[in-house]
Amino acid sequence: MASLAGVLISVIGFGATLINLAKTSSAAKRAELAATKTQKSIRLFDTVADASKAVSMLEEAKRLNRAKEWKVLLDRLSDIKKILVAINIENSLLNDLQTRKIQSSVTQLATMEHVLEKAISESVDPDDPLQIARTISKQIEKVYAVLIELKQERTH
Amino acid sequence: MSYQKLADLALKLSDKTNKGQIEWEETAQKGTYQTEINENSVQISEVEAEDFSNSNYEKEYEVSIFNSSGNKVESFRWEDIHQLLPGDVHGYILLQEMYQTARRMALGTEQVLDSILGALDDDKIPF
Repeated sequence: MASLAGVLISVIGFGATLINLAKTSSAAKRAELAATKTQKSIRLFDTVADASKAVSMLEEAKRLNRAKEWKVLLDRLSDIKKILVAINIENSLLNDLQTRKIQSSVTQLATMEHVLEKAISESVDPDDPLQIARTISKQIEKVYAVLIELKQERTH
Repeated sequence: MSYQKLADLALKLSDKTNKGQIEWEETAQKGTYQTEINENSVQISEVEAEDFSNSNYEKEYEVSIFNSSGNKVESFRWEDIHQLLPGDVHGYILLQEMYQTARRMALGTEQVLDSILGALDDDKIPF
């Protein structure tokens, strides 16, 4: 009789342990989800801030191109490129199309850097400053489009 | 340098370009057009044939590959891939045609021509 009671107590105790484990596991999962959501939210905030900064700097690059400030423009393009590379590499929030848009801008900026480096080294103006202006404008459109989409995502 | 992957890349790029499955765009470098493939970029440029080149052509076409940081990691011209292409494909013609199609796509030539041809077909020319 005593051994039967012992077995019953063990079974009940084991059941209670399982229930507690399930509760703990569920709470841990909820905490993990909340942490992931917060991390994603912070990353999204940072990405929006970086993309906004890149758009402002691209606007400045247009002005520098107009003012024929080639050396400053070269530095600025390099800075913008670094921001965009960081957005693309450190970010899992972007979808394929957004990644391609940012990637396109990175390579376009690298090409502009090459054009400017060549002109500066030869102490001449770049061949086609108008084409540089058009290219910068297109990069503004691309990065701005990504920025708007990310902002919309943030408000959801 | 001969490298089979580059020949394969040229063939696939040409095929996708002809089918309109790749979108090319202008760059700040005159005569250079760019497209994105995954996290990398490819450019095709028309360049003057270099003096030391064995090429008999005045103009050459160069394909450049860029990584996600915008660094050029590879480039090739027709001589680099010609021997590795199928017998009926000429490396120079392959790259030249791809360049011309990429240029037309980037400049929107097709849309302009379609618009003009459409207007001509409709007899709506205002003169």
